[in-house]
Amino acid sequence: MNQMGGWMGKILDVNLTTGETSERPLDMDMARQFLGGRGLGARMLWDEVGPEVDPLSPENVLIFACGPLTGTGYQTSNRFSVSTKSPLTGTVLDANSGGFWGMQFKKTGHDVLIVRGKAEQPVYLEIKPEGVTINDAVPLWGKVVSETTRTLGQNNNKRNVLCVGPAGERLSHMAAIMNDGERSLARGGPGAVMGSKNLKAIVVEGKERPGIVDQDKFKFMLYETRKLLRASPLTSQALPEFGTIVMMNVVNNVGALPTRNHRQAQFEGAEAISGEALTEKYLVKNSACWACPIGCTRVSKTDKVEGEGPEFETAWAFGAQCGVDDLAAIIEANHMCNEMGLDTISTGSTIACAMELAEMGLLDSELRFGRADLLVKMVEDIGYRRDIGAELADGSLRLAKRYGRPDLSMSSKGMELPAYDPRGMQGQGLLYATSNRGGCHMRGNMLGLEVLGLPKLIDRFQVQGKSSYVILHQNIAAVIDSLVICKFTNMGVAEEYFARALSAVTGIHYPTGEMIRVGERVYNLERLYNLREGFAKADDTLPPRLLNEPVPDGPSKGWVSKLEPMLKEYYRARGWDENGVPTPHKLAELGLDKWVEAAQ
Amino acid sequence: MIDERIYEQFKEIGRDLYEAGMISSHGGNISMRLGDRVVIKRRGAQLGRLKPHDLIETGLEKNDSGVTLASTELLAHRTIYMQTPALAIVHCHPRTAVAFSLSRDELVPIDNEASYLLKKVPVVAEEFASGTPEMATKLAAALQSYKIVMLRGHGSFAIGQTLDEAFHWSSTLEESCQIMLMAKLINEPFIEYRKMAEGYGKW
Amino acid sequence: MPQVKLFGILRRYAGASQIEANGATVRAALEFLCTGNPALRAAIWEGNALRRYVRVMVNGRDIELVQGLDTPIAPDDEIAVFPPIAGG
Repeated sequence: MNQMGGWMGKILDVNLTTGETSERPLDMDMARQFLGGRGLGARMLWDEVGPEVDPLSPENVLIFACGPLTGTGYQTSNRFSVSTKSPLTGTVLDANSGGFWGMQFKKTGHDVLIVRGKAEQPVYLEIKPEGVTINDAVPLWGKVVSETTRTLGQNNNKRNVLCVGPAGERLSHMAAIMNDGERSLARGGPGAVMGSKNLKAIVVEGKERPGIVDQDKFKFMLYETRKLLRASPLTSQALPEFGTIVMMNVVNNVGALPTRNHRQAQFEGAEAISGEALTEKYLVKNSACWACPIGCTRVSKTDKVEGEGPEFETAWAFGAQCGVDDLAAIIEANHMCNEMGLDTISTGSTIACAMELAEMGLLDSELRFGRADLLVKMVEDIGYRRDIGAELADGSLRLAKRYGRPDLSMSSKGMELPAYDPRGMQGQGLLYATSNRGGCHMRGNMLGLEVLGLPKLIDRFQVQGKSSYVILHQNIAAVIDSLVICKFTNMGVAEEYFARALSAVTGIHYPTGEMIRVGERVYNLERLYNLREGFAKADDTLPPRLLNEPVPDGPSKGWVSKLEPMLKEYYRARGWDENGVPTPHKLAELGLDKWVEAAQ
Repeated sequence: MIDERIYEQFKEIGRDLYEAGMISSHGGNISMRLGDRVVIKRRGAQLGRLKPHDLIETGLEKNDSGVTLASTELLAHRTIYMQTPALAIVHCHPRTAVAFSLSRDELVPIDNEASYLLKKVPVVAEEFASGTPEMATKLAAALQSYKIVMLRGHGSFAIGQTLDEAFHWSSTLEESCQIMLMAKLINEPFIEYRKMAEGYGKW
Repeated sequence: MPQVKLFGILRRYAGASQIEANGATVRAALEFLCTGNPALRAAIWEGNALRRYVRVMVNGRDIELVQGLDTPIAPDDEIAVFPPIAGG
């Protein structure tokens, strides 16, 4: 058992070029300031990867990071993240996943694994109590995710496999890193970075346990959190019964469900691809990650496949966004994404972009909106970079640019936007435009405030004052991503509980506000990273369609995204100048004084 | 120009506070942070009968020119916004809670709802309990850890994402103090019905 | 007659996903809907108010932003009732 609370205090460093592996102590000041996961990853990435580094070159790194809560047994303390420079966007990237791998990696006695360089031949890492080995992965190269996972001996509680599939091997910019079979570190293409290093998989087996400084307080926090999660109908009924895909009907009902590459904001086929439909026709059971009492994962089955998913975003991306109302086809496309190791949001939305280009006669393909029958093959072709799949494999922006229509890529900073139409949810648009990893809903989500009334309904068409909500949610998401726990816990449990759990585990007093300030710190550092990469105010934007083309019908009819006034207010509210650059005053407040020069 | 929807929120919560007996005619104050601006009731206005011109909008860090009409407690609100994640503040005078604050450093609820939601409410004391930087700083520091705190002999300060939330904490506190008062009158030995109840006092 | 669409677990209690409901306001329509169905009533109502986290929309507009339960409805309006749900 560890004397320290929460952190294991060690970084494992693997150099694939030289074959060297080494350990070094975790800088505890850095850990206190950035916690772990996304925060620590961003901080370390700042030092490791500068603007001169190409994301798919050996000089890029992969930083797998747990947080002080990972593996403690606190509810949902299974999550971990990977930080790198994104091949899809060129921004700082962290991708976050659940399952069991993170818990097991922590048990190896480390907080962070940093992988650098490039192996000459495909290899896989094995991290066990006896030591770290780099092993030949040539026989595994080319294998799909499930086969790789099985061959390497996946056992949820004892031996966990993290790997890439054909998509990562072939450097698709939408490639995901998969863990425990069907969980994913998906957005932004971290799978391509891993593939570019000739790294097929990382297998972990561990024995150690993180320390807990105040055992009594921790027990109390476990009890209170359990009570709250059970008491909230969101975490005790809605998520386990219907999964995230239950969002389909409600988002469609308010007219904020992007349809056919965002040409519309309401889909006539939403019911057919809804959570209710899934539960009725294809659901086998629900499932949970380690230490999670919620159990939002779906296990679904068609006559061709059985596996985890689909999540709401997946069902949307291959569904409404592609004009497809065939849920079985969507389930099968999701399954293929998992096998190839691909991000479902980017893949679905890129296919939708291709559908629009094809309908306009620009792209030579039989792809059309509604062609459910072509989805699975298209995903496979993307994974293997075959035929037209090769053109889609690097995301919708590169695809659309190639055909002279970058405006038809529904992306921000190159990352495909998720399932909420900014024209129908004004705050969400601001969120996407200012997300540090590109158009993303997991860096804060205005769904609660603007649609579900959590904690209270704020008019989704209101523009004044929206920025403060967006900022608060971005900060909270950043710290949850650094602890690392699951955001669904936050649906039943307030941040003050996380702060007290963190304090109990680490023995360091984190008032709630201070903990959220970690999130603000992380957010600002990520911003600085992107500024260093050359991103500027002009990149905090949305596709022209959302700024200029009013929604044609439905409850959001006539609306466009009123980004500009919200963005102005946002910069001021964040304490940034009118170009979106953090001011010295703000940086000093966050303890980021050393970065003041970098911000100029 | 303050958006109509925002005015509606102020009007509603102001009226709820008055009708719940948690403020006197002209006492208390509520505010919201909108981006880098603060909206607050002007000095002398009645929370229970807010009109659109009763709301002042001013800068987060310093006053707009001509803003002398904002409440004397504007400094406290500002400090809280700058030092905590608050987006809304409800300051009121819940009479039973105020009475309890005179003789203790923290209020620890005994009823179910408040144990669940609040756990413990610290009492902060300051000599001139209105409008000084010292008071503002003490309050903000306490609100870093707790979503509602008492200012001894004066009233409660509650923070939240919305006025609704902050009002929720305030109303729950007052209810819980009334229950505590009645329990004192009943004066029979307390039968602990909650598991791990020692944890509330250490919240 | 106004159509009331039900979602999530409410369909189970109602035995249907869409029901015609009589009433000039949302309150009246929901009352009508719950007549003789205690399970549905318990899922939607808490006394005279809507249960926490239950959302009701008329033609895609949340009633909380209109007139709450007193929001008037026209014969060809579509009312949607959602139980507490969450997602990402």
